[in-house]
Amino acid sequence: MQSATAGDLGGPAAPRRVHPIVKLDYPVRIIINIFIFILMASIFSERGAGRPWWIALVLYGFIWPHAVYLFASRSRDSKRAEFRALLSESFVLGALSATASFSILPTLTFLTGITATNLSVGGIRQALKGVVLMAGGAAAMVAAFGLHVVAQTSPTTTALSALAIVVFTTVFGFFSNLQTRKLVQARREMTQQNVMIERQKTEVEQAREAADRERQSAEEAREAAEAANRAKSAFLANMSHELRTPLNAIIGYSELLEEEAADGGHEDLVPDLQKICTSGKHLLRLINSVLDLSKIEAGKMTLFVETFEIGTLVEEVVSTAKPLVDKNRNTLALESDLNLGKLKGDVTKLKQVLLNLLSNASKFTENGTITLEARRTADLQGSWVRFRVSDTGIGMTSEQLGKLFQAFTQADGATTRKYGGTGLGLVLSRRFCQMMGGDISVQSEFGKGTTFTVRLPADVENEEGDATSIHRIDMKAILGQASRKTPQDG
Amino acid sequence: MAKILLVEDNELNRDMLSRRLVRRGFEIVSAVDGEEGIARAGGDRPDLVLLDLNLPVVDGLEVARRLRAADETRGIPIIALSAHALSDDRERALQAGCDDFDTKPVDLPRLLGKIEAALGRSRGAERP
Repeated sequence: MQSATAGDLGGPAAPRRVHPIVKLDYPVRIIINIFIFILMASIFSERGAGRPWWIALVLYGFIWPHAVYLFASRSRDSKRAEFRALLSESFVLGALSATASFSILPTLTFLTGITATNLSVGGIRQALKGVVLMAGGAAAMVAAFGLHVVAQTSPTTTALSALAIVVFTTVFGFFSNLQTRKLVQARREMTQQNVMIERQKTEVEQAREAADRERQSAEEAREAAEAANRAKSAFLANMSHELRTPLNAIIGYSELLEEEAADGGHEDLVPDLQKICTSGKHLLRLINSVLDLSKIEAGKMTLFVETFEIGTLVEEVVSTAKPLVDKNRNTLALESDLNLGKLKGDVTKLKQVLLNLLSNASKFTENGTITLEARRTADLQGSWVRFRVSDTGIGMTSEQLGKLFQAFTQADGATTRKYGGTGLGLVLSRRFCQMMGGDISVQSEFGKGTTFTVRLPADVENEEGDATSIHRIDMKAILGQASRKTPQDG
Repeated sequence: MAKILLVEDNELNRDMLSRRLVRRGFEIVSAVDGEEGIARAGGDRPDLVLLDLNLPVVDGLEVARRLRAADETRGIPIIALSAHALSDDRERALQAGCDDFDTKPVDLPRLLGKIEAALGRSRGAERP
């Protein structure tokens, strides 16, 4: 392992890719050149050729094939090097034909061998070049040593020539067959790969179609859900209207009867009539809350923004809340800045929020203190008006705090039975505050009390003379923001 | 005592509200649809109109517009009443010329406050 690594590091760069033609011709050339050597050797020995001729023949017969391969495999373009080698061989074989005095069989052997090779690896142009160069080689020899033509050769030479041509065709055919089989194998593998690619393509297309179908059905489901939600909102709106009309009569007549009973000396009936009236009003509050919530969810809740005196609002809230606070023998404390100034917002909804918080505080506190605090504050985000409602009541556990702002969720079922309420008040209060650009937060300690803090932006505090204008605010945008913050709600 | 025209098509609501207002010392004339409401406003010259917005024949908003358009009824304060909580009734009522708006079921003390305020304003306007 280690030595292999060291060898790799110290060794030459990876060998170039050798062209298949070079690989095919290499063994063929080794074998054929041996037979050319034997053939020419038989002629040289008959003639008693000199030492240089023998040296040249040995070089060509045994060294040349390896030299060609070495050169081709090292050259930048091994195929071109091989073609050049074949053309050089054509020239040499032409010269050898002349040396063999153009005897028919050796000449025919050389011509057939080189032409077949040139034709098979390089095509017609290569073959024609080969023939020309062979003729050139022969002409060069004739020019150098004169023309000798001896058509017949000795039986040995004839036999060797025949053997050479048979061996050549056999070897060449054998290696050609090897190459062909490799080619066929490669083609078969490619076909299989193509089949696999086709299959994968089909799978990808099927997956994409499935994804498309899923997306479409999800889209349809979303549209259906939206339609259902619109239908729900419309249903709630119509139902609320239909429910409010008879309730109008129930509450109105029970109040009327109560007054008439008191005037007519039937005081014993008054408590029962009050119960009818109270229940009717509770039902009305419930309907109104559900309606408000569905309006908010449908994005149809509108704010009636006007500029109002915060002090006046606080006074009104305190006087309305007073009977609620007194009910459980609580005292109401007011802590407020002397000059609260003006605020721009929906005064009715803000009043509803503060009364809801005070009503909750009164419900869950007995013989305690409920504090309403109104202050102007400022931080890095701007200036704010802050209302705080704290009580010394039963408080909440952290688990109860977690469920506080969810619709129809009171702290637990027993709470509803003991304290009543719709479970929607805080949800609506928080939504109203968010619509006005603020929010509600809560702190509580079980057994000690609860503090709700309402914070509203006070950026338009000094705007004057705008008390009568009514602006509509696009609730969908605000609700969109709110729902993005808590994606689990949807 | 002030005379109030109550335009309301629902018989129970009309009866209940007019009886409660009579107990508070108001004189009540009532109308069951928009057309009758316009006729009574011109003929009986009430000090104030309580106008249901959802009326047959001529709807409440149109009644308000016609009362504002006619010389003899232009100065009569109108308080619109609506049981439709989902629509923009308040805004549309004020645009049609109503002076105030209240929702049904009626919270009598609140409505009485609005009636007194509207009557006070119109008396103040008549004085100079």
